[in-house]
Amino acid sequence: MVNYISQSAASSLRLIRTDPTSVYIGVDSTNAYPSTGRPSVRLESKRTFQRGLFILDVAHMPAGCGTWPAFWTLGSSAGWPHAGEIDIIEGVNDATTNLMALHTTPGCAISGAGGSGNVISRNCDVNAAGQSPNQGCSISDARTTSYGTVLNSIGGGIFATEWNSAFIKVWFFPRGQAPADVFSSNPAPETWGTPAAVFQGACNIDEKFRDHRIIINTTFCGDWAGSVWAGSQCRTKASTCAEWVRNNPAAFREAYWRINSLKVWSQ
Amino acid sequence: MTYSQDIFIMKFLLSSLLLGRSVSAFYTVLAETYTPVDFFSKFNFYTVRPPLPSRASKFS
Repeated sequence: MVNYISQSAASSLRLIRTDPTSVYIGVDSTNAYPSTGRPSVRLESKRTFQRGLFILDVAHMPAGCGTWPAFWTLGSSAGWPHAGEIDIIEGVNDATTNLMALHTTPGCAISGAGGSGNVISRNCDVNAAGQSPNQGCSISDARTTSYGTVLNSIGGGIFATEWNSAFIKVWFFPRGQAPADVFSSNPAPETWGTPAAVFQGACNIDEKFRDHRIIINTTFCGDWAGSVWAGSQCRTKASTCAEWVRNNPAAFREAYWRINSLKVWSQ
Repeated sequence: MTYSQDIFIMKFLLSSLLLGRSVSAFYTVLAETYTPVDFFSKFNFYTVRPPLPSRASKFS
């Protein structure tokens, strides 16, 4: 359902553009695509990272039926999931809260303690018994400001991810509520209060998460957005997710990222 | 206690405090920054479909 296009093609279609204070990363919302995928963009950082503090200032994120946007990091030194995956912003369709997750090989689980979000699953192994395939360990933010149309209505916010040898934590600060030092030259997460998600437990983080690239993408339908279509309010729009994505370009006018900045800090 | 001993203890306490903060969560090195000026030049545009489960790589 998706057709990831090159930089030159994306620029020609104006799916990517910049202004003095932000970048825009969108999808085609003009044309129907009855037989090919809807054009979109998947960015992967040229640089890789091992631990650090990742601070994303996002003003708008893709939202709406058929969408599956994600801001995440993926291990580049081995095939998935042998170098791990960290999902920082992710959701599908008309979701109202952000789902944060880790995906690993066997031998990594979290206690679920310490964060304000709702723990959905504790075993980060993508093939863990008793969990959906590829589910991993996951924590849902309890606030509707953390995702989609409500996030966009407040002007977005700050997603900060601290990844070290002991834990991976994610904070979300709605627009105007971030601590001042988030934007300073010496951010100190230890002073930021309770994170939305704390991934910590029986897991060798240095072994499971290696050489990650930052990825920003918007895809459509697929294993997640497509499979839950029938159980969502989106089912009233079309019989399948694919049908909706192919034939309703105007429905994807809100399927764009607007990012003010992204900074990666190390100690 | 002499003046030099005072200074030594103060330096020790200060360095311990700073070391403690840096070990726990105190970030001072900007490893990478992505701003509107250079944002897209620091990313590759990925267009290849890998042979992976679609959710794993978020392809569809």
